[in-house]
Amino acid sequence: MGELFDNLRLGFATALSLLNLALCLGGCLIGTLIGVLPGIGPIATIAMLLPITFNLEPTGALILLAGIYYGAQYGGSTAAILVNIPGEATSVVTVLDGHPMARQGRGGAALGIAAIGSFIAGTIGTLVVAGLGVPLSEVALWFGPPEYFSLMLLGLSLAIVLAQGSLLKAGAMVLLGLLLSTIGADLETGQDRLTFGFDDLSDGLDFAVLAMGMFGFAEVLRNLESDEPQPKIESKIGRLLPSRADFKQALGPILRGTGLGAVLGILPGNGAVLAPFASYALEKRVADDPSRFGKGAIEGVAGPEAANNAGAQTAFIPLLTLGIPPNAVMALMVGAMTIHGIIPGPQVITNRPDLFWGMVASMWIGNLALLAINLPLIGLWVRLLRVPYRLMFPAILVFCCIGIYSLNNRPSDVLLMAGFGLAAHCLYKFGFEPAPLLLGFVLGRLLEEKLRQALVLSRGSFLPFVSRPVSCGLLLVALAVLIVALLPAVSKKRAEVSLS
Amino acid sequence: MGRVSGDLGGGLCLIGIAALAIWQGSDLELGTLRQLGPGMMPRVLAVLLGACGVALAVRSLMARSAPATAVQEPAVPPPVTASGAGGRWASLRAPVFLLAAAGAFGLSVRPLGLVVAAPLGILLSLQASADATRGASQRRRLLESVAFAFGLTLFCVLLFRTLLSLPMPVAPWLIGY
Repeated sequence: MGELFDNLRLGFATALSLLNLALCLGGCLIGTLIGVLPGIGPIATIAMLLPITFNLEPTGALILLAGIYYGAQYGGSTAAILVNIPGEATSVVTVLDGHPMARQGRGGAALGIAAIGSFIAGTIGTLVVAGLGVPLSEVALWFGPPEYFSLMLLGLSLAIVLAQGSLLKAGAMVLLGLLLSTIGADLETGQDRLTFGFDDLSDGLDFAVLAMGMFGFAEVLRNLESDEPQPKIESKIGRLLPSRADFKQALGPILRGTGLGAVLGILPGNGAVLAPFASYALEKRVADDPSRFGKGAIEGVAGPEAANNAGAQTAFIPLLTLGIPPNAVMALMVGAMTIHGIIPGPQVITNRPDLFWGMVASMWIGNLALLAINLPLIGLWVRLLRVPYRLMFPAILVFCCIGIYSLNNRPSDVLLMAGFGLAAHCLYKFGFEPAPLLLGFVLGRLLEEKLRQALVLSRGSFLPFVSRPVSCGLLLVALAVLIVALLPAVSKKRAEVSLS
Repeated sequence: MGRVSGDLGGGLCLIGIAALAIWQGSDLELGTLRQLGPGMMPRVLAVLLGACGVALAVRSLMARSAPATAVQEPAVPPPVTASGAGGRWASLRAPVFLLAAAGAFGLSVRPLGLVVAAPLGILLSLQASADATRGASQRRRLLESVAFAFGLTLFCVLLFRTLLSLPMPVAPWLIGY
């Protein structure tokens, strides 16, 4: 326990340096900005801003990127409540009760409770990261190649199950992502693979290029095609501080949502996206009068928002302890770390305690800052929501181009990004989702490396994957997850969720 | 596009991608289980991907040949894209202009710098929106577009080059960097 406090003190000393504090605040501000704006998400923004972090010291770079990430979660809820459009995929649930509250003139209370709930969840989530980081990284130290392989397989099967729509299509997208990751020089022999003779491809595809194409460029295409009229913004916000009764009603949902989110966030394979849905379903079940939900129940805002933020926080755990990024944002963090020569994994905590604990501390500072930034600046965010999309998307596009070009100073990256964007758009029209593809791509290289190592160690036998208890357990869970998703009752539920 | 024909198209796409990958990886060594070669992973993944494609395509063909039992999608109205003239052209408008914008940016940024590439990209992408052709008078729209393109370019130069000092060529033919 005393050690934890010493570590946290080191973390706060790092995070409170003037530069890091400024980066944390700046990141939160940028994150909120893009979270509020529909049509540009955290993945595209982090990919876009990655080149900026080249000049920074690694701790500062990660603090900035992390700030953008959870700032975007906050901003997304603002758009959801005031405009009835989820600025982020994770705030889909907030729309259900948040927007009705805004229509009743209680938008301020909804925003307030979302911010307070997120702060409480963020605080607890930060403590979970701090508490679990060291023990989990010790567990990870005796993970061998078979365990890593099985864990990643579990992550991929979760990604398949968590995607919307058909399991077969999500599985195909994971395979496609894995296949794309094999492009470039072979890890052992250095031979060019699937490069079609282009020299620019022999380093492999840049993850930022792929992510920006699929989440920046394709998103613009999709928005232009849906051609919706400018949404109506609720201008009456009302008082921001929730009343005592509101707060009393919301406290239970906040704590339950935090618990759910924290547990789901740790799962590899982006379990955090599930957290708001799970929390909403739970609150509806335990409520005295479930019919209020969908008509402006404050529990329906507080629970999912807390779950969302707790999940966003604990999603750092697999990255920081095992070196396995659970989602696309975390994969970009890996990119930022490797640029500075830091290989994410269990050794980070021991080798770079300032980096690990500085990041943990900055998460809490960032959450506090968001509470202070988001609420007073509401007027500014509302005004931003009024910028017409016809002027916004050219700006998004040019920022994407500049960001991608400055990653490697390679014009071909810009063209590749546009190509992937168009391909993703076509796949989307056929009912394929981009998220499982990205996770497959993210884990692909590591998966192949660990598989090959494991087979060399076992002299070509697959036995260790099932004879080593941890690996076997992970594989069984992966199998169970897929089987459960195929059960008729569950697959019907999934179909309902994706239709609504 | 109904679900059934979409699945057929999607399945065929996957099969095509798998075939492309197998063809490209055909000269790579597969290796043995003891020592996997560079070609093994791509080959296995491509075969699995192709199998997914076949499964999708077959499923949709079977659903089509048995229309009495086929699951009917709830009638989703086709997305309204063609609010201006020429339905088919209108749905291609956004992809064509956005690709052109990114392409023009990518090709011009190194030789001509940001001061040419950015306005080019912005002006081309502005044309992608169906809004470009309706509402206010053409003349006013044009003025607005040009002003917006140059304003945004100035902003980009100040932000990315001056403030963040990214190594972007600004105008190599004019000021040398």
